[in-house]
Amino acid sequence: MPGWHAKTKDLAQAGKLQVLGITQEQHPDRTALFMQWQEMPWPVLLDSLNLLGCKGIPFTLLIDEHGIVRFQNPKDDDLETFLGSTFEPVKDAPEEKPWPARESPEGAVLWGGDDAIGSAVSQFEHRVKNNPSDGKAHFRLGVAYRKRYDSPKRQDGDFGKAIASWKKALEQDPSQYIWRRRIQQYGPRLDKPYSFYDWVHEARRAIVARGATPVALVAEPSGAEFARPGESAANASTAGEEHPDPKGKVPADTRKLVTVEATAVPSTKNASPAYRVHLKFSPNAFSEVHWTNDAGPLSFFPDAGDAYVIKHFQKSPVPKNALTSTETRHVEFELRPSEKNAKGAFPQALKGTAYYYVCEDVNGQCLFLRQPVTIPLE
Amino acid sequence: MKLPLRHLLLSMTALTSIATAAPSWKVGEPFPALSLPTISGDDSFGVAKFRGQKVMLHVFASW
Repeated sequence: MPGWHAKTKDLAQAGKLQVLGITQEQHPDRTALFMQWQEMPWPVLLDSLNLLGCKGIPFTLLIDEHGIVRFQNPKDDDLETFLGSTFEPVKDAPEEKPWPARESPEGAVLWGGDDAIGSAVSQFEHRVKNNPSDGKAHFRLGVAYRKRYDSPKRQDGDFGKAIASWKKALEQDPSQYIWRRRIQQYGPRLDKPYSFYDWVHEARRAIVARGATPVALVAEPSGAEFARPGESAANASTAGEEHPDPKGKVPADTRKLVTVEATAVPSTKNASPAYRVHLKFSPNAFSEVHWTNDAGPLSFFPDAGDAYVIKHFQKSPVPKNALTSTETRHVEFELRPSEKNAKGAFPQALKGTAYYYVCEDVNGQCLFLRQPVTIPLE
Repeated sequence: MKLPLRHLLLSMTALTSIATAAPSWKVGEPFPALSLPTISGDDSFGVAKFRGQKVMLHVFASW
């Protein structure tokens, strides 16, 4: 596509060709950052719900002055032919009304803002309940859940529900690569056909070097979305970290000063069970809980037993030059079947324990606490 | 507009996947009247906005 951009830049500037994009991504701001980096100024439309119904990307269409598709994946010669031709409209073709409707759940996801996502979720939930084999409805429900997860309206389990919905969609149509990619984006590294967002850091560096401000991202890509762990914001660490509580004496966080959301994203290949686990730790805003950074970092110890081995462990770095902070912290790692697991029996859940230093309120008590975490595995 | 080789290879990998996919439009037929928001969210339109002009449409993702 950047290749086409170089070839068509002058034609577009001369008004001979209108260039347009449709992105198949969940997050439009990531496409915007890509366009800014590549200095491609043409308009791009957001099709996060895959309403177009394409099963793979990228591809290019040439559409004539009457809205008729004339070429798919054109060669240079085809573009020349296309520009040199005058096309006739298709006779008796009824004019299709623009869709989707703003009042539909699709419209609510695309135009409704954060306040409308809840209603879109309920309507899609209703749709899949009435027709469990409607793969498109499952996929769209997943997009709505993930959008709510990235918004201030987030509800417990939204990310896990998004993944489960996309899995159900894919069961209906395993050849749907756009749906498959949406799971793989967050899934285990061995399942990835290619890196997803390794380009983000390079893009930001290049944009800053040009003296511009990079487009801000609503959701920073998770560690799963990078092929090279060094490119993600998190530290790869842990193995070898000393267990802070071998005798189990650290008090449990019974008041939930920190809330945890645990999501295990399965591999889209069914051959052997593998997961990318995403843990999100949020200090309870209601009682003004904050991390005490000078005391130590958050740590997490998964108990994989003999069934799994842990790979690619990463966690958010502690903010520099801040004694206290309230940011959400992430831990990510992958589960692979262990060679010791000869029987091939896999537990339905993984248990682990998180340890963290927090204080309640501005002058409140500071505590070192543990929180047992159960991560459901499908 | 120089892109790393891996981008090129990746695009080629993705292209092979559409060979098996049934498209939701056909050459010789109107492109769907899909109207969508722009990625910046400040406008909404479809291909019909450019009636009377020749259009090159890229369907893609930044990954």
